[in-house]
Amino acid sequence: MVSMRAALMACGLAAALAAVAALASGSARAETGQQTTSLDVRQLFATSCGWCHQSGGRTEGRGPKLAGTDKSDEYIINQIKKGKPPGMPAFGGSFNDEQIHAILAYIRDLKDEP
Amino acid sequence: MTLNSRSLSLFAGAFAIGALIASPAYAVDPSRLLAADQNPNDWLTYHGTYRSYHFSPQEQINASNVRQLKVAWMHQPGRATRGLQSMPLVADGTLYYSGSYSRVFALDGATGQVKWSYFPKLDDELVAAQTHSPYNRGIALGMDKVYVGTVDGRLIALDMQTGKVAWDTKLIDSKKLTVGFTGAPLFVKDKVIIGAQGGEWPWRGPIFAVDAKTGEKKWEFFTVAGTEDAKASWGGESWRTGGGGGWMPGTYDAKTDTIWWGTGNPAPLYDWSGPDWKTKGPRPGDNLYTTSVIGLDPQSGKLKFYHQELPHDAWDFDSSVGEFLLLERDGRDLVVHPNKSGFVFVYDRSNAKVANVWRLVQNINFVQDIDPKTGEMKGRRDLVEGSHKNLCPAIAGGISWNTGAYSPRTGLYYKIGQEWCMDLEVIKTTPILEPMAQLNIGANFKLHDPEGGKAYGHVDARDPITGEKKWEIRFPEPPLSSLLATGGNLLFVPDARGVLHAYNANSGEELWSHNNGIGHVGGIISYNAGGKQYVAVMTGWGSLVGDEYPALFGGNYANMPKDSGALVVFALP
Repeated sequence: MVSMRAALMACGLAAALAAVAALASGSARAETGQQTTSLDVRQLFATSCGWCHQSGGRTEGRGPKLAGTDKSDEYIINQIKKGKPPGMPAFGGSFNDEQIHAILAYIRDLKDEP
Repeated sequence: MTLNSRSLSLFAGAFAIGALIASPAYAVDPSRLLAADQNPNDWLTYHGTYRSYHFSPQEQINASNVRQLKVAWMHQPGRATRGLQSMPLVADGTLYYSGSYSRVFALDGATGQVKWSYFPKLDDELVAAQTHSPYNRGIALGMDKVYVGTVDGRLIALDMQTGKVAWDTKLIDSKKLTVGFTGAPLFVKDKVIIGAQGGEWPWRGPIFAVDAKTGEKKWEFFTVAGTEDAKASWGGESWRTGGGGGWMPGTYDAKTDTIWWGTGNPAPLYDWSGPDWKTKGPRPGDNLYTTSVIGLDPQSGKLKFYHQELPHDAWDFDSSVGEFLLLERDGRDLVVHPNKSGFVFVYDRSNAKVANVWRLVQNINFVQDIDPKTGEMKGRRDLVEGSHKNLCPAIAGGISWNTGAYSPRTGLYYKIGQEWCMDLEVIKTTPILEPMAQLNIGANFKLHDPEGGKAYGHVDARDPITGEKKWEIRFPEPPLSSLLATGGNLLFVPDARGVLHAYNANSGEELWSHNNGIGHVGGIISYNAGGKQYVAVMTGWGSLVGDEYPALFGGNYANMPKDSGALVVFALP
């Protein structure tokens, strides 16, 4: 579906940021995402993306099912960056390209089950 | 002519009287709000009056003639993203309402003719990055102004006559915190009160009071760790990202000079430490004052009393939803407040001591019971890290933020109950704060039907104090709109499919219905303009709970527009 790729990317980025922010929690400034070597996208979904992309992106809920999406990489990346108003926020200012690609990889790995 | 002392005193007296007559009276003087239940023609504040009954004494439209009710006029605000979620207000025949993006309109209540409109300039880039946006739940009237909050963290006052901006006060750094205001403000005495979004957003959810004349912030009360005692109920530094908030309007009790308000849930919503929550997990402790009802002093914003409806809320069943009914029973002043979980709390109005607790909703298993005498939770279902099946109610709650209605004529409280459950996997999360705050949920979840049947909704007619049920009306999908009761013995229910129903408020018999063509997620009021009674309802679909409907219920919801809505006003021919 149209917003799935973007949503996935957004979730990945959010996950990356989540990890970073976790480290920074309680301190004045967070480290930048670029310093994160591994991104726990599963944790990202439970933090932010799962609000809409339920069951970790495996089922339809407020947002579309991400597992098994037929959208292109480019589509997903763009969707995460720009969002799809009113439902999907724009995460372009929140995630870097490396983080977005990590989310994309997570989405591609999701098993498409009923 | 010579002036002697007698002439002088006569002159002075006349001058004084003249000055009094000439002094400008406010259109909506605070005294009018206090006496609102004696003015049946208007709807001066979000909940109708400070008693929060969502009741209009108007009788012109009644159970014997409502069959003739038809559309009198409509207004289309445009850009109704996520539907129209607000409660219209009426003063002296003029109707005021807000749409998405905090657009505000003043209309002739009899004809719908636009008197003025105001569209604030919002931070569009910020709005595009928000989830709980760009809907607006309503406005306040007070003195000579209309007050509205924005999702980019401002409170704006507009001249009632012209719509011109009187002041525009920034209260929240929304660019950093991502949250702003979606709730309606409340006018109290000489101040405008408004609560920030919070809950799953990792900050501290303040409630603000702003001087109505000048726009100057007078006080703020942090719903998360707002006192030293409260800070002690948050382990470590977890209070900094605690959530909370007060995103729906409470009410004002003049008798005790107290603002009653409901607070949001803590973040993360789900706690991986399960039953060890007092000492372990992301936010050890009771987490005051989240998921609480609080009483604040209007002058200072200081806390007078509180009751935490769910200590260490681990299910997102906040107290920021719903109304605060001011009722008397057997010589006792009481307050009735529904909690999102589907339990309804009854409090002593002087100190928020629990007087009773009753269940509106059937599918509840997050707790075995709540003691009706003390409010103590018995048999909490705390969920450790890992998978869990069939938590009830689901995250969408046993009730949602839309209000019920109380009729002093029937003595019945009408309220929507929601029956659904969910599976979830609780996962350790950490708050995301940079470059801007993100949601902190703490689990992946999936809503589903309750065991033994399909998810559904019901409008109950109950005794507000005892909870005794008189009747219920079932809906295949829970209505998500507020309700209206009237002196004409009517109960109005705008449903999720788009049909506005009118029922006999005593018996629950359906008397009339009209299809507005799109679901309802906003308010409904009744008022009088030019001697004629009107019923005004917000139409439009797309609230966050409504977003669940395509997956849960299918049908028309997959294609129901989320960018449309209109104010539709009915009257007798």
